[in-house]
Amino acid sequence: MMTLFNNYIYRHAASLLFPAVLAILAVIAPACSDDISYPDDHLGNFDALTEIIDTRYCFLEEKGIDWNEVSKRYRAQITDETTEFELFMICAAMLDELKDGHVNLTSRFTTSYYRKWWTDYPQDFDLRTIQEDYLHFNYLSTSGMIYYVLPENIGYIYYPSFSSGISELALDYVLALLSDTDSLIIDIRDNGGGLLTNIDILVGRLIDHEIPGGSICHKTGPGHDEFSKPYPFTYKPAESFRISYLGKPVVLLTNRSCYSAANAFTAVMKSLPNVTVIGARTGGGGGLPWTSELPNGWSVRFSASPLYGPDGEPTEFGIDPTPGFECHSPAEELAEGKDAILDRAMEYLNAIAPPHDADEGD
Amino acid sequence: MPNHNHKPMPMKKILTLFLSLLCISVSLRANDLAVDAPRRSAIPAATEFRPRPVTGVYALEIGRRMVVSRYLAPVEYAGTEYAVAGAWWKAMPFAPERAMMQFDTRISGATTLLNPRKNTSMQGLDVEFDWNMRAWWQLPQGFRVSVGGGMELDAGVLALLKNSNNPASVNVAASLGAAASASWTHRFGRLPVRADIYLRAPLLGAFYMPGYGETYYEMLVGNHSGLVHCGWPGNHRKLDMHLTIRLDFGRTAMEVGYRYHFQRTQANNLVQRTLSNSFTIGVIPGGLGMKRRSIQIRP
Repeated sequence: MMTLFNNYIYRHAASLLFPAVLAILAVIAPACSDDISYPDDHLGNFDALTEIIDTRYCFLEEKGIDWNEVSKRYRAQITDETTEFELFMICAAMLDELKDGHVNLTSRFTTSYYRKWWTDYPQDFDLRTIQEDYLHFNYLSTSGMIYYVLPENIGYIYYPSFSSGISELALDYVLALLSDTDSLIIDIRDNGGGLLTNIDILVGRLIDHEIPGGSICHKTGPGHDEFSKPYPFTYKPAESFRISYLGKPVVLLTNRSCYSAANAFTAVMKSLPNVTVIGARTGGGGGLPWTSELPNGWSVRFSASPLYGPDGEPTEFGIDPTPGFECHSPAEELAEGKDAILDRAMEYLNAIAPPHDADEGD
Repeated sequence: MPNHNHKPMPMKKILTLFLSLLCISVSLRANDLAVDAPRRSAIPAATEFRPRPVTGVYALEIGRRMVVSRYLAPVEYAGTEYAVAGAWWKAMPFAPERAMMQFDTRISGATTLLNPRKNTSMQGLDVEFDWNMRAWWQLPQGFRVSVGGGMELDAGVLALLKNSNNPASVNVAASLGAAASASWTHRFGRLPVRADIYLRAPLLGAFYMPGYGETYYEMLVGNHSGLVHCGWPGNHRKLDMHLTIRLDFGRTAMEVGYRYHFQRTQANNLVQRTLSNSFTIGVIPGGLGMKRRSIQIRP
């Protein structure tokens, strides 16, 4: 029997093999439609955009947005006469309905940007005023930071962006030079965010034990409510050989233009017992942005992964200052060289810090 | 008194002694051989020493790769793929006439995979290692087939650097799989030619796939759950088919061929699909052993 079988196989193996290969190919490699199935025309690109937002944007439920209604409303504006530029503007206007500074549509000719999260609010900050009237153009700067010792022995660091990495060594020098100060002001006004990993570096210098940093989750599927469980994360103190700033009062200055990573930094700083947040509510940006693409090559960026603060609250809508410390710097005062938020911080620190000349009297 | 009558040994005697020692040595050697001869004849023919040389192919490949990674973008990117590949095979010691093993490695890259509008580019780099053992049968008419299985390891990355928190898609998989080949050998004049088809496909293993909207930052802060998946043909399909024609010139051989490479991985509501068609050209140092009459076993 086996011999017969073997003979059969021997005689027919070659003729069986190639059809078998073709059959395998037919099963394994069908003409898969794994890519987006919209045509590269005006309506196709519009529909692709609405589907991407519908399936991936993470705040539709929290913001109470009826995306189906929104997309229908804007789709009706597209006609046969609509130009590519007009299509872009229709799409951009539709995306503005998300009221999210992390949402952009990028084409070869422009990038859309929802600006109302900060343009509708006072700026509360003027860098020139700080540099001229408080730092007297005599500040030091390294690794993207400006630092100085203000009157009454208050250290001051201005950190305008989380976009570039902070050098650990540079931070050692900054904190070493400020180590004799009685208190510290960290000013992040107008900081539009950047790399979240920079938060670890900064916060690590202000803590002596591991602290909760918040939690993060992500969408697990196209449904509006399909999210993973929030994953808690922590911040750890810097290595022991690094220079830290511990056991002294710290004030964080914020304004509405603090966004994204600066917003997340504010959330964790606010949770520290020796930190007081003074200024205005931050701009938000509590969703990690994601990028996708339309059939015509336009890129769309949007919030996809919500970040929660150490208290479990969403950070998308901004972080309030410490209760009782909301403060604004009117533009007219800034023009006259007075920064009310910085003044308030100095006043507060002077009030709570021990007199720095107490030791000298002994 | 010392005996001064001692005479030095004559040169003739020294030569005689040396020749005697040489003869004894040769005689002993001959005895050894004489003893070995019947001993060797008692050893079954199947275990006679027959060389099992390693046959190696070193190839360059160029082709077109088409990629869809829903983690990066929902549209297909396509472009030229370059690869270097190597394959080494030899007969197994326990059944040299029936079993063989093969090791394949391939490094492929694509520097400019373009989207349909050709205004954005993606880069890709992949490395594959595969080892398998196959039983083979010599069939009539110069046909030969082999079937077996082995293990493979794939690692690769697709990069779309304009993306914000999803700039790259990592592809890592380790699998047990099946492999098969069929070949046909024919002599055109004095030139032996062998046509081969070689197929590999993973059947069971594990692969990496991030969450649907999961950023690398979330993985960085420690959330690694749901990243590794059990792979089976339902969610991790791959087929590597290599068609070759090998010309054995004796001291060396060359091959020209076509490679069809398909991979589709699906998990967490994401899909990553790669399809490439490549032209391959390779050299086989030492040839395929078809041109000389020898006792080598080359599967």
